[in-house]
Amino acid sequence: MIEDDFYRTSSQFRLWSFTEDSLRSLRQDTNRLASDRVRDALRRAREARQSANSSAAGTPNPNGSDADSKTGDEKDIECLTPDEEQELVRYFCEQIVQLGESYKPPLPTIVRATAIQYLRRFYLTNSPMTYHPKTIMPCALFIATKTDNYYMSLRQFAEGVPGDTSAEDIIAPEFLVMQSLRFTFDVRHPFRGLEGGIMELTAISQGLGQPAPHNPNQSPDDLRRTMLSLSPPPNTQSSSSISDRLARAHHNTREILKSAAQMTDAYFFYTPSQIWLSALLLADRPLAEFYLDTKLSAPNLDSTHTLTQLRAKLLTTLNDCSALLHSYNPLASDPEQKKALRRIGKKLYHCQNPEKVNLAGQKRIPAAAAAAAAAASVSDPATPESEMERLAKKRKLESEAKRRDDIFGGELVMERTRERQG
Amino acid sequence: MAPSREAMVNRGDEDEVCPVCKSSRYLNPDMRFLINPECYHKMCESCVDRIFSSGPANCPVAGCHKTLRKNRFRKQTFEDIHVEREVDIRRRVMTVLNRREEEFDSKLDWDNFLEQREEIIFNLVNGIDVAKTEADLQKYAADNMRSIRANQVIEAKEVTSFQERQNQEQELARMRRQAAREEYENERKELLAGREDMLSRLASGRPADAAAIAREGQKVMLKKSSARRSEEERIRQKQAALRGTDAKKPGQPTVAAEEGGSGLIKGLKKIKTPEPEKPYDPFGGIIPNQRDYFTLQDHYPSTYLDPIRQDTRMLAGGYDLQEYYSRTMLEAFAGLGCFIDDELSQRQAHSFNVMKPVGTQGAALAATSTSTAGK
Amino acid sequence: MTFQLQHSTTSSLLDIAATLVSPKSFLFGTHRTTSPPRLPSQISSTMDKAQQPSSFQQLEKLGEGTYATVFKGRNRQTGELVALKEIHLDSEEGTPSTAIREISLMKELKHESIVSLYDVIHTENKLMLVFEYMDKDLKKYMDTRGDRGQLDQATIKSFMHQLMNGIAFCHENRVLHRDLKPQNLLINKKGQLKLGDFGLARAFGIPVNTFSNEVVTLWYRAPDVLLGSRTYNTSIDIWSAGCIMAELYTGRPLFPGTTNEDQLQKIFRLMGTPSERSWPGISQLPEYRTNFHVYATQDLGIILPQIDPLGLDLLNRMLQLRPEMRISAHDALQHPWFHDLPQLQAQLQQQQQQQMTGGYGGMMPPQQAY
Repeated sequence: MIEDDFYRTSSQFRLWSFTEDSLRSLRQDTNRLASDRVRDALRRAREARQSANSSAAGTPNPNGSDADSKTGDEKDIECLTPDEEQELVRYFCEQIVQLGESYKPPLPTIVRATAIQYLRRFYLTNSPMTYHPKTIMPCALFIATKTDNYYMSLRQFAEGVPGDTSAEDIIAPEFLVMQSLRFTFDVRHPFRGLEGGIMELTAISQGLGQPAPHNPNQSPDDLRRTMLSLSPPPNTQSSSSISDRLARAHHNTREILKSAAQMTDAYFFYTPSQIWLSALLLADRPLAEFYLDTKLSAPNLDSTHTLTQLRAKLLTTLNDCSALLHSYNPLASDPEQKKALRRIGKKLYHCQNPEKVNLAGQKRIPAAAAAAAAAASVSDPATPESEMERLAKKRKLESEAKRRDDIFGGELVMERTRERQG
Repeated sequence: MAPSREAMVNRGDEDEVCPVCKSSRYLNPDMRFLINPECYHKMCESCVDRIFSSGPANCPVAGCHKTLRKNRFRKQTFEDIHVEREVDIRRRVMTVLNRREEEFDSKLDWDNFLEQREEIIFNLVNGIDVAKTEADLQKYAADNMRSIRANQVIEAKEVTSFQERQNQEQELARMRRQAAREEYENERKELLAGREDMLSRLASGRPADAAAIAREGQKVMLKKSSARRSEEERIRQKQAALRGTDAKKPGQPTVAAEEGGSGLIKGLKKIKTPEPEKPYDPFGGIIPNQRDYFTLQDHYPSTYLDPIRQDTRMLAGGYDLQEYYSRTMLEAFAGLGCFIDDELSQRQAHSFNVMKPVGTQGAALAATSTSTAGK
Repeated sequence: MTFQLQHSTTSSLLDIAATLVSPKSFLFGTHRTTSPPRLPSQISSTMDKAQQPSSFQQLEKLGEGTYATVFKGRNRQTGELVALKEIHLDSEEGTPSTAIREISLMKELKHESIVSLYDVIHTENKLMLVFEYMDKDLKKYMDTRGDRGQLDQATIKSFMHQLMNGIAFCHENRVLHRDLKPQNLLINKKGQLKLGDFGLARAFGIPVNTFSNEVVTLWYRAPDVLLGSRTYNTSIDIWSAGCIMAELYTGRPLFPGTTNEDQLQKIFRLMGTPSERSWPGISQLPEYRTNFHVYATQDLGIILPQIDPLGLDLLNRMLQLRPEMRISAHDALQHPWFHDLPQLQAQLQQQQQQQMTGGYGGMMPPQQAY
């Protein structure tokens, strides 16, 4: 279908679409790497502390340090599981909605939705143990105001962020976020698609519908008659006018798109048009099925016809997507989830990577680096200056290592060779 | 410089003598000499009449036993009879070996062919291997009759078509100019008529009607612009048809070596059916605005959008609701038939889109490098 | 966060890095003479094991824009030339939204008539966009190639076709360029024309959305924008394209205004002063004045005698004062003027081959757009 190729060129389809398996394994990899790293970092910090203590005491206490290292063994550091990470990210996605609401006027739905997707994409390749979502979240929202043309100065934006978050804190991780987003900022949302569908359904309800390209025999009157004879959606009182019905379906679908579609993995597994139609199925199944039928079925089509096959396949996909959307349970209405979240929060406090805690602070004097420097200065009697130089080199190395593994830099070659092959 | 043909014929040599009847130009100033390309022996017109009028006969020159026919006698072009002969031979060989450069695979093959042709001519002129060369030539002519004729046709056309094409181009340009002028005139006339009509109606109508009349007038103008567009379509088709006939003429397929090859000539291209010239395709094969899931309508009723349709200020500023309709409807269906699960499985089979944890992995490496550096 | 750690490192490293795109490149690069203190050998040896990243050698400066500087660059691995657009970072706002928007759009728009974005690289305090290299912009091309800036028929038609193709693709993907001008159209040796500099571009189509009218260099700005419209649409790109088409023929800008008023006056003098009758609703636009000098419409053919009647017709349709009447990019591509393009292009190709063998090339003047 012609419309589908428009979507296939999007970066959302090219880079941010996954199968369930590929998404799960990506999250597991991320989690495993982050966990290893947290253990290493915590061990180093402890060693530093120990040697600092022992050298300060002047009398090395082998027993004590042994006991210390045993109790503080890496096995004892309990890291977050991939599921826990996801819970946490979801909490901060809901926080984006809240934060967006607190501005005057509230930030547009689309800006908030874009920010949520940025945050979700960011945590596919980064772990909350490495970068705490509370520092990334405002940054993602601020980038979204820029990409969705909702102009706001950083100062103005920062004033709306609760707590003592400074403007500098907000943009500190900007590069990191942009890079993790692979510099693709265009998020395809299902909202405008829903408007299109409702627009056409309204036209049909007024007898102004046009036949679909593959079904030229439809007449506006037939379409209207069929629509008026649809059985009412379950759990509503019948005998409301068709325009009321459309308005209700429109509103309810939009609410699903604003919540469930954002908070689940729907954007990773389905296309925007599939998402809004799935949401419409939840809101008013007879109406949604009727609409699909106007597009993808015609009288006298046998089961082998491509349209019939497409329709069958699409219904399966849409039902899967509906089930996913339906499974969403808002945090606010679920005390169990809140309790679980508090537990995760506590757990994260202990497994947060100490070397990445203060993003803005690192710009000035990296706290972790200072700690490491202190540690090194004890184990290695060097002057602070040379130590700083060494750290500089180390950081340089880190950045090289990082750049080497930068998926973006790596991909250039791949993408280009692919283009040449194409 | 050799005297020109005219000068030679008109002036003649006073003392020129016919080798057959020995009459001299001095006695007979109108005397004309003729030659026959069989043997190139010169004789006067009256001798030709006398000897060959009753049918083919032997050349009267002593020792020459060639049989000559009267209809092949002609005036001599070059003063030097050897040159005359060489030119004749060349012309004959060239009409047979009339391959064209584009029929050869490479420049080298073409050059080889030219050299081969020169050699054949040289041999025939100088009487080397005449029997064999003639036989080769004849065989080639028989084998390649079609391509020889085709190339002859092309050559003839090349000579005549240049002028023709120029005339045609001028004519086309004239037609285009005229069409554009007429169209412009019509449009202007309609515009003026429309305005006058509207003004007169405005003048006679009540003030409340004014807006309605103005709007109506505006609608008519828009309609006219779409009528103009269909008119344009017609002109375009006409022009396309003209170009079509135009394109066919020079583009006749050249018949290369007949099946089995030409034998004598090497390096000819394999026969290819030439591709017909492609018509202009503005969108590179894609039909724009064609959709599979919906038919775009001119108007969708909406309490939210309809006020915009009336908002002259927005419309005057350039807002186009049609663009909104088109985008919104496209987004409603773009990707509906993309099944990510299926398409990604295929893509992964090609090992694309392998995504690695970014920050985390970088940080992991950083951690290891720290630990080594710390020791 | 390694790049930020790096930010705090010694200034000498930063100084070297500032002259190069990738800090690593000086370790392997050809710039050894310019690189101050050697790094200790232990690090070099560690680095040797590392595979080389995609890095670019920075060459001469090509131009300077409002939020970026453009350099010529070379890919160290492939030797391929690129254009490097260095974004100046605003310490107040982080990455400028113009840059973010440009990256965002360029990541989605892949088309033969639009300059390709290959890569985005960041260093300590700047962002570098790696673009496909183009030899010159259209302005420079006209200055160096044309006869006093005028181009031949075949080239004009080919360029206009590619321009309309690029615009049509943008509009089809609901993107307004908003800053079309010869400096933003890039030409390469193959005779390809591509749209560059999407810094002002943005998505469109939402009814309540209104735009800033600070767009498009004055000379190519549509009358609706000049009159203060904030609901303008795709038609503003068409107006710019019309101005560019006329300029291709004459070598001079069609409406070289100095101020907003002067620009409007120059347009009206040629195209006629619009009125509520020819352009319903015009009097409601913010910059509309009842005392505009009233000019009659002139025949464009008089000031553009070089142009053929069909071309003139297309130009007239692009330069309609009333946005609603302006031809769309998609309709323009179907205009009969383009119908003999395949034949003309065949001729053009021959010409270019001759020029190539005749030693085309030499010094390439720099370009500015990206």
